[in-house]
Amino acid sequence: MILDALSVLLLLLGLFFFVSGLLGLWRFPNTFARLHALTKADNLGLGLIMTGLLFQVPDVLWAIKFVLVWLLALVASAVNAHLIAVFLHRQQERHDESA
Amino acid sequence: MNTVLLAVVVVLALVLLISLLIILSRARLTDRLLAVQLLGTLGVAILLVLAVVMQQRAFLDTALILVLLAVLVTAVFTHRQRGGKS
Repeated sequence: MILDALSVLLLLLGLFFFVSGLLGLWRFPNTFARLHALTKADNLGLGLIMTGLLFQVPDVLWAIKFVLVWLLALVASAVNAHLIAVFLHRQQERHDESA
Repeated sequence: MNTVLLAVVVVLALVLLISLLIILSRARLTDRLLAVQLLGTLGVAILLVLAVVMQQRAFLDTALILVLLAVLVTAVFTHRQRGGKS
């Protein structure tokens, strides 16, 4: 019962972070700010949802796989953010040179 | 507990729908790529919750593949826009 309550709390927190990431993507003024908002909020949301689900899984193998999915998502998101940031930076430099 | 988990899936699906609309409404490539990244993470979250609801471990494998593919999209697009050879 306590475990259920804990996982509901964590799931709600995760949803909150997802929604705030969405708001950041929607409302922030430039792409760097949006990058900043999204890459942190959605991974934290995924991590919290994953932790909430950990209390509901049938055996340990599931739990290990959950954590593995989240770690892979962290690495993937870091790579993603880096690629987008470098791309934007190059684009701006090219724009400055031609101006 | 399953009802709560399904409600979580519904909220996540709503967020996914809104981020699809954001992709449609943005003109710049980078903004769209960011929204695609959010789509990937949301898809993974939905698959994780569904795996617990349906007690199917196959959903977890799908989630792993989805994470990998989401980052490949960005790699391919930024590489192509830079004028790199495929």
